[in-house]
Amino acid sequence: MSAHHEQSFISKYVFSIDHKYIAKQYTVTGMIFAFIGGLFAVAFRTQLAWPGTNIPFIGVLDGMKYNMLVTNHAMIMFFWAGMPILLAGLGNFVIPLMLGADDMAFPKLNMLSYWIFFVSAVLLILSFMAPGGGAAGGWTMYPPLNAQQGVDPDANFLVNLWTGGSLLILAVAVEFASMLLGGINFLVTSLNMRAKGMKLMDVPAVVWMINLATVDFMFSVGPLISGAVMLLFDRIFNTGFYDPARGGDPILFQHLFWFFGHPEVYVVLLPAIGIVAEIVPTFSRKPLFASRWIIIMATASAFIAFIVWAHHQFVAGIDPRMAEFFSITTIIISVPFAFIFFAVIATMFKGQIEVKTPMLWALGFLVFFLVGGVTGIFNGSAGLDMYIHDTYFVIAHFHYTLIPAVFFAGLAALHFWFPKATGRMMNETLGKLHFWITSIGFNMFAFPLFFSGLYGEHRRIFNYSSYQPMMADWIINIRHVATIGAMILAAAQVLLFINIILSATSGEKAGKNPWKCNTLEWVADSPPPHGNFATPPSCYRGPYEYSNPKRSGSDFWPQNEQ
Amino acid sequence: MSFLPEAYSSVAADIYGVFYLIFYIVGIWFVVTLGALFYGVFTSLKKQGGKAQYITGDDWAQSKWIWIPLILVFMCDLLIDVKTANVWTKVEIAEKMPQNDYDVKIVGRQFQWEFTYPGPDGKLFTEDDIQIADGNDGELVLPVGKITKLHLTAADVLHSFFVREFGFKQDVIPGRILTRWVEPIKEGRIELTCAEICGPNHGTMRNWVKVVSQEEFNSFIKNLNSGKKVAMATK
Repeated sequence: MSAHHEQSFISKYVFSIDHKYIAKQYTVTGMIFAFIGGLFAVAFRTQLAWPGTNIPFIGVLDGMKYNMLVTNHAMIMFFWAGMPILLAGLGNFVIPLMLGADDMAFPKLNMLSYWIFFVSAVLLILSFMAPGGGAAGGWTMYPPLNAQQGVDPDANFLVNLWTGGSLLILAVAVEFASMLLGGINFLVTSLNMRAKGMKLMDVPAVVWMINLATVDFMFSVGPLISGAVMLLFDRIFNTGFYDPARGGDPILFQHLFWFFGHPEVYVVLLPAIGIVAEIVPTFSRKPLFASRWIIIMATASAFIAFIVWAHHQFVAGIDPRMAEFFSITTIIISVPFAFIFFAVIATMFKGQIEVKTPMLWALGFLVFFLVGGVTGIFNGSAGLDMYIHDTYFVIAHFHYTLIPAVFFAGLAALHFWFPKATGRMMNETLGKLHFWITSIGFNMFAFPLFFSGLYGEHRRIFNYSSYQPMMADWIINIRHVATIGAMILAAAQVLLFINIILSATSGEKAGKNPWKCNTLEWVADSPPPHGNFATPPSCYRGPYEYSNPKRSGSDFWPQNEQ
Repeated sequence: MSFLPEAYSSVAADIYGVFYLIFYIVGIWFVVTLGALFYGVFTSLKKQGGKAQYITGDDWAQSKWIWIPLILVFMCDLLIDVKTANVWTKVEIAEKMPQNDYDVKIVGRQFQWEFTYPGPDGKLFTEDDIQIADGNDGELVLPVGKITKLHLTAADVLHSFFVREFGFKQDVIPGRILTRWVEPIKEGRIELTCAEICGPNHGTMRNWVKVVSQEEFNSFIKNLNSGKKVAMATK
């Protein structure tokens, strides 16, 4: 174990190799992008509710600008908010601390990972400045549209590279290189740097889930990158990989995209479930119910995630017989998730539940994710998907999976580990207010969309006035309510910002273990110094020994105490 | 649920049937699970001097409380799988496609739909085919109660053939012709939209489907063949 020296300003705050600081860099960058992505959503929802509104800084949205905003909203929320916060930010913070390690296995690789991510963010921003503006062909980037839009086949390749679509593809590819480096670190650290005595089943669920997510990501990203490179070549070198007139096949891209795209959902979802699996036992003062089986089921779901991808393509023109297979696997994936869900609920029964803000956000995740989970069955049924595909029903469904995962579980994690990261508690009152306003805004925005989706309102339409049924009064009302909900959701985040600033500067001092939690990160000081632990902790038991009758005088039993 | 549009095709009711089956099954699960969640939370709130029970869920006596519901979930999944596969097979699988009465070719093009009917020889994909390309006013005219085979393709980028009252959509792909079928069960004029983003004016890519009686359809075809700019196709 190397000694940890005093660091200069640059090596501490900019090119930091400290996993905790890199985690903060990822989280803060991710939160900034989440806010930008949210504002994009408010902008295009405003156009939907009140077509022709002059939106500050953007102007009146025409079809092109509208498509640009929806495309980049999705891209940003997934790759520059969801992944950096839930995978890179959370993983970097909790993995070494929860394993009792002094840092990641490869700290310099870790630093490189963040700065490559930073480059990808710069490329993303540059893509908006390219002539013609940002990419506007949908976040799934389906060719031939996305192989053509903004491209001049006769121009030199640099001209075609300097377009929104090409730069966005490049940005995504660079971002994935960064996440791959991070992923290598996660896996190597988790396998090799666990505290003395920590068996694999003593590793906390959240670390398991982050590693499963990493495995899903690493095994699925290759096909996507190759697909993206071919798309980029179609754009800049005028190749015809996806051009049917020249022997190419547009559906090929969809397979490569979704072979990655579906596991990618689990990349965001699994860490979220892991977070909740840490928080619920802690605030219920009870062991995580059937914790071993939760890990087994999560592993199973991480594998099944690789054989469901074509459920995004039921109506894309694939051989219809394939849909039968993918429909079955998709619906069966509800089984492992139902198990985990039931087990987390069972964890709370006969506990002593204290609803502090982290627990409140975790409960919010459970309630709202349940809506997203059950509505997934509708979309996964090929026989029904041929109607609801690409309608607002699907939009509502995935916002009920991703917002609970990224927002609710992510904020649960933020409130839970904030005291460890900064040494100060977050403000409970502000936190609860923020929770309730966020919940109201979110449900106002997402829930009505189920109904307009069932009615057949299809997505990515900048102005519904061409469609008579979509101009019915109740549909217009739904668009108003959803837009106001989105505005409330965005505005509520100001409370979070205030809470973070106030708490980080003048919050109550946290001490080492404010939540009376068992896992090893609570053994370190708050905030932990560079190098984390004064003496490397040993591990004697699993992480969920709450209210164990063998332990007298305390309702928790830290992993490092004999 | 009245949110689903009125059915204009023979398969829409089957497709909606999948919706209702799933709705009732997952509706019950949703209510039960949410009930258990809230019951668990509100009966287990922290009490002064209270003590949490040490329940690990490792033995069957405890874990049966989630294994048994899980088996039920699995059985419900299978039920849904069977139902959805049946409907999918009926609508989409080529071998199950019923014998058709008419053919029409449908082309998606930025940003309109175009329709091609067989010419005087009554066969599609021959020299004398007649195309209707009327911008966004073009109508796909179909006879009620008869089965029409739809030969779907695209001219430039991906589009998606979506008539909400028919209950299904189908992406169309340049360079490929996909075959689907429809049997309209109700006369009327409904919207044909594009459900796959296809460029800046994707949001205005709307044409019409006009379901007419057999007599009207016959005269439409007759007018089409005699080269008259069909009066009824425009309004």
